Amino acid sequence: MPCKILVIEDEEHINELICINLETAGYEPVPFFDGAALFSHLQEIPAPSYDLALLDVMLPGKDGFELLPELQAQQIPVIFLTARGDLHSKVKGLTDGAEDYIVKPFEMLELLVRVEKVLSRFQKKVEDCYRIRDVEIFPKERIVQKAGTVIPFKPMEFDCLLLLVRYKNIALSREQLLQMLWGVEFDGETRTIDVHVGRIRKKLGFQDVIKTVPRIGYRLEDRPEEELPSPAASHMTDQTAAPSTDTPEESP
Amino acid sequence: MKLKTKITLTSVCLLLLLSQAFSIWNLSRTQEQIIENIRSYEYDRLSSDVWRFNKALAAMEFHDIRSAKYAARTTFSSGYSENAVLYYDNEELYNLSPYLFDMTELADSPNEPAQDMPLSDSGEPVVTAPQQNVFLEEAGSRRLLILFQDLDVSDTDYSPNSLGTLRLLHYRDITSVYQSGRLLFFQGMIVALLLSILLAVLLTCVLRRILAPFYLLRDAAKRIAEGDYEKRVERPGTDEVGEVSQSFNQMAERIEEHIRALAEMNETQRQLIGSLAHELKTPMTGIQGYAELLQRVSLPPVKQADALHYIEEECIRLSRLSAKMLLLTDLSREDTIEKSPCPVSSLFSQAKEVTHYRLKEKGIRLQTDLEEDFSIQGDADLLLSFLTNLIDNACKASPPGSSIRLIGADSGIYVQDEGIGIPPDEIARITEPFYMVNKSRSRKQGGAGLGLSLCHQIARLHGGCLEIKSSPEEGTRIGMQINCGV
Repeated sequence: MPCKILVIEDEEHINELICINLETAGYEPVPFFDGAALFSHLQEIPAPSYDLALLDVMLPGKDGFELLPELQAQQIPVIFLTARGDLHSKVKGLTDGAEDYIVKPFEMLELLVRVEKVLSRFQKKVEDCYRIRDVEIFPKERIVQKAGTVIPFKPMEFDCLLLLVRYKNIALSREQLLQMLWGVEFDGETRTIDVHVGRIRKKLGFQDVIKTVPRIGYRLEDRPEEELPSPAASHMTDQTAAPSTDTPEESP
Repeated sequence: MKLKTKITLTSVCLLLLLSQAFSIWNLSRTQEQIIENIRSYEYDRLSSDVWRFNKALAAMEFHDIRSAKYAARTTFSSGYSENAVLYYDNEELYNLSPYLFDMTELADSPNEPAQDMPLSDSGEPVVTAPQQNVFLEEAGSRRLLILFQDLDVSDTDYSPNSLGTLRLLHYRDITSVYQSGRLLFFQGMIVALLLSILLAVLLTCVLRRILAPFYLLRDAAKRIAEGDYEKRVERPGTDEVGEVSQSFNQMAERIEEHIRALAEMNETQRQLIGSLAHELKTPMTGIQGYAELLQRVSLPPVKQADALHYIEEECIRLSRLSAKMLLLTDLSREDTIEKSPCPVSSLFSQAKEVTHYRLKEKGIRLQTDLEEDFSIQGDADLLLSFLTNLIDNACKASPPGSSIRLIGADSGIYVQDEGIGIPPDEIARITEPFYMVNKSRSRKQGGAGLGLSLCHQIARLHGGCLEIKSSPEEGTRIGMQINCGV
């Protein structure tokens, strides 16, 4: 069951963009375009319906600061998403109880990382096993199994694989991988990544799963329709295929 | 050096110099006078002595030089010897004075008196006594006035050829005159010095009072230089200092006005830039996000087309925004424009042409309401842009199938629609750059929030003002009234 994430953003295109990215990363986004609509929606639904809310500050109807207490009452953690980058707004947002604050314009990966951080902090979803085709990855135990047999992985290779799996279907640049693996930027050392990815492909037979994206880096492709389609995942793909049907009424 | 010190020092020096010069001149004149008096007295005494001596000698008879000398000596000692010496030629015959006079030198020296000793002050001719000589001599620390005269023994029996000249010398000690003169000079100097000190003290006090306003001015100028533009000098005097203070205050006022105007302008600019940056963020987020999406996620073709379309749309919006922004900054900087008469009828037809397609798309009719054609003094391009902006706004606010009217009345040009109207409390703010009544609706329609700011500036440049009459759900009438309140 994927995490349900409220996306409250009045700019249609930005909202759609965020939703596409969240879907791609395996979440279930629920878009809202104005504050008042969300407010009435929150009154109707039972308490633990959503795992996270991405909340724009400037909204028609009710603004983000007004909606924050309502979301907190439902125990939904909130990440503010706004064009207002001034310190005052940040401090107000965070002291009022938001979990994080993202200033526009932002990179999608940054958004995904922050979403993941907040979710893991709330233990909403700790993935104890990732499945890609016949490969199973256990992050806690740091074990990789292919068709039931354990494949030996070096620590750095394992972390690299975990990143690719966690942000599957999204291309990660070599720089981003380096930064997330080592925490620093290595100059001219991006080939290290190529070596690691080469080994991972070879060990797991992932030559066609981990795709090389020209100019960017690598993308681990795991389309639900190719694999055993889970009901939620198939629903999600339908949404992705059909444009602008992302209305709250349609979400489960 | 401070002005106070300068003035004081200069005055003190001048006072000392002048007073000393005067006292020297005065003292030397007095001294001369005294010496002249003494000289004329001594001269009279000498003359009378010589005359008496001559008579006494004439009464005597002597046959040789010795007897003559003897007779002269006895006569001299019997009544002429006070402050006097008797000579025969250059030989001293009788001298009871404490001094020795070198007659040779005295007699040989030019037979005119010392330069600083005028012989007569009353026009008395010197020639009357050719034999009379006056000298000022310094003997040690003493100063002596010396006069001598030859005795006339020509009417004696004795042959004058064989007889030398008898000469009577008078002297007078005049040291005290000089001494008292010097004493007076020094006394005068001390008094002058004391007076100078007094003067210096008084001048300093007076100057401090006089210069006090200048110090106030200086402090005020310093405060203003430090940024306290409200500082003023208090001094309503009518003298030069008062005038300077007044001018200073005027200057400070002007500076304050200018600074305030600049600060206001700066604040407006800052807000404008802030709003602009904010306005840029949303399209930037979209463009960046979709570009990222296209690069990193393999999307179905429909989604890809959507993303590309969106990127293009946002880019067009950004370039439109920047063009409007440029026009707006240009217009707000200008104060005057080149004006020529623009007939309203042709403005209306041009505006109709430009907006035709957009209006047709939404099914809105554009009617012209112009009873009598007239001309507006202005820039045709700007006026057209004014109209198209307003028609654009009206079009966005109007429901499909409604109509928009262009009205040309004697006081200006207006655009009237039957749209959603503007809430009354928002009317005051809608000309602010980037102010939008409904942000998301306006953005959806491609608005940047600059149209009415532009119209406001255009109206300003044409000497008019923007007139807005609106009621929600009924429609808006907006336009430019020329020459309103100007």
